[in-house]
Amino acid sequence: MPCNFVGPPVRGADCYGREAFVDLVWEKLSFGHVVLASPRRFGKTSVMYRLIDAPRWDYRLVHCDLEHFLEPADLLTALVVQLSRDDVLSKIASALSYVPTKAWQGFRANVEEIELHKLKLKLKELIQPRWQTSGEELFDAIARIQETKVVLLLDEFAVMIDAMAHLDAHREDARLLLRWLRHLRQSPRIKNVRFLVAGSIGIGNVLSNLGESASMNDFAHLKLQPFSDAVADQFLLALSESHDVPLSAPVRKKVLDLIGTPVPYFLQIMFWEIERSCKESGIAPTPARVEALYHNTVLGAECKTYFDHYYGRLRDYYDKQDEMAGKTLLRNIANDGELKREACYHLYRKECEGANIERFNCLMANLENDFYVGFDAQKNTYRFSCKLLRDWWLRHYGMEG
Amino acid sequence: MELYYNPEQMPAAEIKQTFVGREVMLKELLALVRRQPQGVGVQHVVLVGARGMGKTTMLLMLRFAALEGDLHQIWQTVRFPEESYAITDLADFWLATIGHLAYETGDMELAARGDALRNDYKASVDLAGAALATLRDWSSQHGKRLLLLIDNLDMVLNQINNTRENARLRDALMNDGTFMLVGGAASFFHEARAYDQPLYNFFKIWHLDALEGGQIDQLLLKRAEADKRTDFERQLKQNEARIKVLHYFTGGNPRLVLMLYRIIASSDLIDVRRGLEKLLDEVTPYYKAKIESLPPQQRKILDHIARVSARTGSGLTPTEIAAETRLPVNQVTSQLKRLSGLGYVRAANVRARSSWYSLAEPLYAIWHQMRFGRESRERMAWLVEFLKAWYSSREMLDETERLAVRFAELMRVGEKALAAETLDYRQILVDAMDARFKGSATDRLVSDYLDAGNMDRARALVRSDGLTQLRSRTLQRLTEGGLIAARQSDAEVSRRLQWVDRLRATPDPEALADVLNPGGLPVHEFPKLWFIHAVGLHRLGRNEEALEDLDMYIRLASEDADEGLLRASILFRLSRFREVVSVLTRHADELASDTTAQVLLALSAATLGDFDRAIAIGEAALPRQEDPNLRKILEVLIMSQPCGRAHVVQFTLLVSLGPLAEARTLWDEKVRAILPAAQIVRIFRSLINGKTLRFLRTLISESNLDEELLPLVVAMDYLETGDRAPLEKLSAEIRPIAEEIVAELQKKLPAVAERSTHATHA
Repeated sequence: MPCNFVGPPVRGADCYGREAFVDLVWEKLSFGHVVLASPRRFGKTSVMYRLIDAPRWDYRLVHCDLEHFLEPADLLTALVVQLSRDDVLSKIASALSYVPTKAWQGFRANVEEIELHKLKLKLKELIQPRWQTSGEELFDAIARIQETKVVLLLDEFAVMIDAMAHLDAHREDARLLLRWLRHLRQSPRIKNVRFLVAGSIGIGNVLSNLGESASMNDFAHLKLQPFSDAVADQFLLALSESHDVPLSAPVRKKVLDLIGTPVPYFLQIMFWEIERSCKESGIAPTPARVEALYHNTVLGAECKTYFDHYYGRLRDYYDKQDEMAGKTLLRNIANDGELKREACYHLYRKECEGANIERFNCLMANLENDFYVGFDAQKNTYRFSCKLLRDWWLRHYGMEG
Repeated sequence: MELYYNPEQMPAAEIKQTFVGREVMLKELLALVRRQPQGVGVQHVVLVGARGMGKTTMLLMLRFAALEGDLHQIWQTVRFPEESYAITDLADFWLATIGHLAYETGDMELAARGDALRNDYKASVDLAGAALATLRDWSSQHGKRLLLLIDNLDMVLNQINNTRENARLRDALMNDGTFMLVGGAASFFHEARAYDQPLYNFFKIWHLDALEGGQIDQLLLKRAEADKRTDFERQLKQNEARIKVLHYFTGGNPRLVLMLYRIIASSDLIDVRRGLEKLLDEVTPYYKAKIESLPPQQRKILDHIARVSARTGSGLTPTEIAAETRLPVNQVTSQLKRLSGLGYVRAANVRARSSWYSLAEPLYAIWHQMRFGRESRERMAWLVEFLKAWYSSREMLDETERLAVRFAELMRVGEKALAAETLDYRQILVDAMDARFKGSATDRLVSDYLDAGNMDRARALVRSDGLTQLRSRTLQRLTEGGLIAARQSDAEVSRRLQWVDRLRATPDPEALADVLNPGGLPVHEFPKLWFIHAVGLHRLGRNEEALEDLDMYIRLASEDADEGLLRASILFRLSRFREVVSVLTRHADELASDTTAQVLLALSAATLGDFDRAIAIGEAALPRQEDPNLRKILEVLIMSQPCGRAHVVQFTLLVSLGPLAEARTLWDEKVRAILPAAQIVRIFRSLINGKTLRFLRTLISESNLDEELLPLVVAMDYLETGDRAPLEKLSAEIRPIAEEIVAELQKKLPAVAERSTHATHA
């Protein structure tokens, strides 16, 4: 039974309701590379761990968190260390010319972490001055074990590239790394490597800013979607059992009605507040109490911080004109429920001087990708991607002019 | 001993003893620690609460529970002190962890290793990695995971101030099961709430909410227990209203509750003022630091809210704030949201579109007023508000009189400076008192200002409060001293005479209750006015106020039979029968021939169940003065005694006169068992009126008598609801009985009759 872990990645039974998506990822990995995209806290890393915990076929999976990396040497060092720890892949590391035997043995054996740390520092020193050559050697070594497919799970790859791109000293390295990795992927000799890249910021924007949009056009893009209603209901039921908080069918229905789109993270927040209220008051939740909790707490000041970034992102990641236009559009969509595309464009043009359709399309695409809005092709309208988000926007920003 | 700012210095037993209001949270936290997964996926927590809300205490309690229970076999606690000023990067953080771990476990070798790392690694990133590796090794060697308890985590991360370091920290916390972090923070800090930050929404947030009223009681009781104060529970019960005051001024902040209570509970008024000033002085560095950490625009907005809310006690909208601060509304809105997120202000906008913002801590408004108020009176306005909430006007009046006596003594012995101080306090009390009671205090204060030679203060008081409450003698002194002109004094005297003429012209007490106004005449100079006012209020049914007036009357005059009889009548109307008996007994001789008094006395005694006394009263009084009401009462009482029906009579009196709760108790305990159905019907029919219909219906229903008393029940229900259907469904035998009851009761219940008639026609 899953527990309600809000924030960290989850494993085992706590990773709930993603079986179909995991199947899709495996399917895509079987013949190509994958970009896993979704906003933060949607469960990308949990899906990655699911792949690691239940590997399929003969695939070996190697995971690295790249959020704090700034150099290609960091990435390669981490890959070598992780490869060394794998029973099947360790022989790859042992064959590398720049990996001292002592280091390889150290990574394999159960030595102290402090010794491992020293070895890692030493390894990075060796890789740093010639990272491309070292990398070539590494991937050539991987390619030689044709019978084994290796999946490299690179978490927050876009963050790493973006950080490098913003530093003069590393910007060129970012381009080189992207091109080099593309060259590897295109190479006829390296057929048994798959990349799965996950990021909470859009890789497209990062590449575009670097002028390297084409460097990852060989990836299949998979977007982690919210749960289906049925899965969401089962998830709530499972949480209620594991946390001993009685959620009757009417209460669960009320939760789903209130939230709208069943984003797992939103479900977790809602459940957490229900659990707290139930345990503090000693009263079992009812639909009426849940509704009151939704309006007074989840949409209120106390939980505002869970959703505040949706507003702040417009300021931090969009240019000034798009920020103002985005806020206007979202306010109108929140107030009206949905807005025709033409109406959105009309509002956009009122807000932005010299506006053209391309800029508008780009803005709306970004708003969709960033999970603000969804587009209904049949009705040709935009609406908020999630009812909870709309309610929240209406509550806190519905009156701004 | 309570250490408000250093709870960690308190003995563990005392911390546990006074831990209140967060028991459920602690239990949940421990449950979370227990169900953490072995490796990846540990849930980390931050406790968010304003200063003084109990974050440090919570972390200490978690530590105790982890050390003392079974968790210590799996988890080793590592407690950081409340401030960690030395941590400015991740290396410092992990090295501090090593240091605290070594201290907690007495592991000197670990401490030495930590020190050695500083020499072995120069680059901060490498040093951080090495320190982290050392901690992992310790965890692995000892088979224990590390529970990091970090107070002011927001401050630590702010000091580190590096996104990449935060990403490394996240990596260590997220991808490795060695650590669980439980932090405290004053607000949901930037690193955890900004989308582009690695620690974005990484932590499970628990808010430490303000204590509720009942929890404040508990906190005070436990503190008293720890201080070995006996009889505290009784004091607490007597001071329920003051707990509400504590709640308001402190915002339910445990630290402030304890600080304020300690000052007030054991002090007289002069010390209360000094104590409060001391408290405000103690919190000054805290509030200064809080405010000075804000950017200028936020400071300006906060300052405005504090200034206005100190005056008005209410919140402000962004539009109002923008108008006064001359800032654009959208900027104000945006800043207010930040201030709200940081815990400085709170928004109230339940399901509405507009928001009102007020200070999260009302005590800050008081501090602001004291510090920034322009005049002395403005600066002390906070104390006036506090006193109004804390003391009743009677208590303040008692205090002013005590201070007046002290003033006279000090003047007599030549201590003029000390005497002047008492005048200051009395001024504050007068400002705080209800207008109905402040007249005598104002008059005496003016007089004492004159005695002290403080003409300016006397003049100022006269200007602000007017002449209406000053005695003739005081008016004379003011005229002689040149503070008022003779014509002003003459005009005032003339005005009073006109008042008196109006009183003579309208002797009806009901009219007097409207005409008579303590602001119109100095009632302390004419005590009888209080009595007349009380009569008027009593006739208007404003009995509690009437009692207050009588209390003032005997304060200024003395008890007499008229006052006693009026008081007894008022108390009787309030169903306070014991006090009726007590008052009339005090005036037994004077009121022996007063039939009203004897009736009240007999009825009260009977309602209290003392039938012997009631009969004795009747038998003694009737020979002196025949009275049909008293005679009737005596007959009923005498008749009821031999049959053991005294309780029944008492029951009927209680239903007629109140209180109904006592009637219910008597019914349940004594009467229900002895009355057959027919008598119940007869008695209830006689008792039913507009006030008692519902009560009696409930008694029948709770006693499961609906079937037995069917005609009466159906009749009562019809009268209440107007629904004839149940009546018409009755059998041919029973229906006429029910209809008869309806007809009888409709005469007594015209309003009900009208409703049921309308319903019938509908």
